[in-house]
Amino acid sequence: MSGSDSELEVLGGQMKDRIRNVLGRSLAIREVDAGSCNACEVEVNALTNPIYDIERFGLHIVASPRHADAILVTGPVTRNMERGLVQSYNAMAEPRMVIAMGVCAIGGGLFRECYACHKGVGEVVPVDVYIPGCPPRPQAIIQGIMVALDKWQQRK
Amino acid sequence: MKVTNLFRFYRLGVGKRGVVTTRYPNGPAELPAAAQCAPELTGKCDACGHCAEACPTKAIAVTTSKFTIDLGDCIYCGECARGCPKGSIVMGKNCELSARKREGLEVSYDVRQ
Ligand code: SF4
Ligand code: SF4
Ligand code: SF4
Repeated sequence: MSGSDSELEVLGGQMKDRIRNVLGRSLAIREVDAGSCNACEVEVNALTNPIYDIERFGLHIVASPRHADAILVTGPVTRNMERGLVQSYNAMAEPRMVIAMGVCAIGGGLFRECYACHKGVGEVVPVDVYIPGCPPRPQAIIQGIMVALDKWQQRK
Repeated sequence: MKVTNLFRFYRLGVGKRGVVTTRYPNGPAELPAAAQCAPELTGKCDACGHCAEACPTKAIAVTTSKFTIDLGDCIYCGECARGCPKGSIVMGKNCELSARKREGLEVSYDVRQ
């Protein structure tokens, strides 16, 4: 392994330690698509590719809100997804957190005037962190997760 | 063996990229040259309002003293930058803009005539 590779591992370890400190374990995130255009999902997928590779920090995208510490919500919350979002929120164990990703989830974005959806996640469940962008870059999502970690640390 | 022959081109290093993983968040966010993030007011502004008119999500509010972009509405399309007759708006490269409050996404600038 070259010098820069091992340095990368060490630095990545620091973020891992922070997650351990704050949560006592890995951070599990459930992605909830509340009517997004799917561009946000593409960026969430990119988080686990070899370039952004969030699993090296102990950040996992999990298959159920029951397994999750936080839900990452995209989309303006359509009428059909309102119940699903509330159920996902209620299924999470405390301490839980809601991260609104993309301008749709923040305030409705381009779909603000639409009759079939809410104006953002905040109208349905309380939001803890907002990640702006349409869609937000993978780096922006990682930064949003770090802001969420700060919030957790303060709650402790 | 047949199988080794099948994967011989990997041994020759075809398509080999080395380490591609980004340093972020422990280093700076390295964005591609074409990437555009939130717009920024960088130059003079005479509060003409062309940018606010061009914005599809009405994210910009301009008065004679203050220029405000609500990043919670901005879709990074660049219409405001194209619509500004003075060329004062540039699409920035800063993507680290998350906030804990909705109001924290509002960015204000003092208007310089
Ligand atoms: S924020 Fe943009 S990219 Fe994300 S779901 Fe809404 S329209 Fe699509
Ligand atoms: S980039 Fe597009 S959405 Fe954002 S302020 Fe400019 S015109 Fe509005
Ligand atoms: S930024 Fe440009 S388009 Fe917008 S009000 Fe100022 S001068 Fe006019």
